[in-house]
Amino acid sequence: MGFLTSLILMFWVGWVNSYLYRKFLRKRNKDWIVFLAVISILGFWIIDSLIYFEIIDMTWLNFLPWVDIPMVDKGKYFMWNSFIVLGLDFGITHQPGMEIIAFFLLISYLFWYYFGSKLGKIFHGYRTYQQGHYMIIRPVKKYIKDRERRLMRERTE
Amino acid sequence: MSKLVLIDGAKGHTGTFLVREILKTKNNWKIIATDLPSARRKEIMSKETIFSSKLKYMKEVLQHERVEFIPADLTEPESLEPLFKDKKYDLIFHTASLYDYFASLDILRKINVEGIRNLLEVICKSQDLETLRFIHWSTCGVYGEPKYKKDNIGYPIPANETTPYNPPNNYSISKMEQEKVLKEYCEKYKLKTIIIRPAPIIGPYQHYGTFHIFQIVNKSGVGPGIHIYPKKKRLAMPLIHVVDLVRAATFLAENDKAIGEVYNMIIDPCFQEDFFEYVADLLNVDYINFPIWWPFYKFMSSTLFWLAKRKEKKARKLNSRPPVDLSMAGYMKHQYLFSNEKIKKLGFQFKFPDYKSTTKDTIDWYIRNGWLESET
Repeated sequence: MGFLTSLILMFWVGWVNSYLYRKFLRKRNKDWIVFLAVISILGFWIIDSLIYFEIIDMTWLNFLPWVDIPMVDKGKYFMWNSFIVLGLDFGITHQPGMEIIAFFLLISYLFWYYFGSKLGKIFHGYRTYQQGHYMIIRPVKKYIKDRERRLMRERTE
Repeated sequence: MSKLVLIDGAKGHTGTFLVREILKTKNNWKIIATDLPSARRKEIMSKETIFSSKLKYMKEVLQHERVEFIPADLTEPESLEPLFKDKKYDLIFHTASLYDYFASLDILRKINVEGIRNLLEVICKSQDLETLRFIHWSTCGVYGEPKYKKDNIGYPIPANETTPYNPPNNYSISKMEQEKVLKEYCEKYKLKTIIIRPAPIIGPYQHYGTFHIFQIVNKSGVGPGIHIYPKKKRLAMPLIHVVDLVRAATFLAENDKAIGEVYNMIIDPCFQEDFFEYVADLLNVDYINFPIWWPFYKFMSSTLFWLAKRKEKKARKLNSRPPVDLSMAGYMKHQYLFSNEKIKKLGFQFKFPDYKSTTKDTIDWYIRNGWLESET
């Protein structure tokens, strides 16, 4: 999916996963967070590697009028210039030695995923009853609803 | 020596603790407890029905054989008569007040200021003022944010009881006016008074004020690890454990030197950042250290205060309450640093002298009793 786009996506997936985990999955099984992380990172690594080694052919995107992926080194070209999909062609061509940079970028997915999930945790909370720092900007109506629900529960206890 | 004691606001947080303290330590004191009739209390103490409905802790203590409960309403002078008919009190603990930052100044004045006036009127007419001592609950809030003296290296020196009034919110204004009414009666009738000015009170089953901080940290999941630089700008966290507060009240009530004096009731100075770190630790939530330069912090806290102001406005529109009352949000902007030296010099020893013992005792209770949610 491209080195730069994948970094952004990894961050975003980490954030969303931490939210889904807190909201729906933690109460079922606490190990879900590990499972989600492994699936997401492995998924991105596999797909990006397959594109890089031209096993997945991204030239099908050439049907878009602003996309022009060359047939030589097509996988590598797409990986370095993935913003081409949005009409931003940086024109980076693959040079010998860039494999090392590519390798480190792939490894950095781990960090970006972690960074996203950590921020998601701060923003949405981690445990089932938490709301994270989102509670600062949470609409007042939601508080009122929560409060009514809690008072009903307390009264029936 | 046996004593007859009147405690008003006896169904409130401090009131119940005071009743418990007297029952525990003063075997020959008889207590007349008073508070609003239940229906009226529900109507006035809206924060009690909005923030919590677990009020059983406030009712059970009044069923003790040494306690006689007589309902009364400070705003209705005729309802006070049964309290004083054929009774000569030795001590009156005036804990009753509407402690609500959300309430309007009119209501606060009616209950807190007119309430004490009605009470003092009856007392001065019916009681033996030679023997009676009147212990009044005020608040450190009457000082607002004073102009602090600085030490040699620029750190603020805690303000003492001589600090002039500068109340920052409606509640503190009403408490200041309450004190003025008391002083007026004190001069006119030579009533023996002792004024206690507590910092924000914490302790078991307290559901307003500091409890909101614990709830926010618990629910947010990450402790706000803000460290202000330069260090001399760090903000203080004024607190007092309810047990120490009521112990101090009974201690002062029996101390002749305390008559006519004012006492701050506050733990030894502690800083908000240490307090929050400890709270996060006790609640088992993450704590991220975030150093920040004072002007940036001031900007950030002003923004959050503005946000809280908007929430309050919205809540009023919806005829409800915001998650945190605006005056509480004011703690992140202002320096509230007060001294407890005066009461210490008198010989009072705190059972919970610092933020750690105070906070731990309270949070442990909340967790044990399920007031703070946890997964385990």
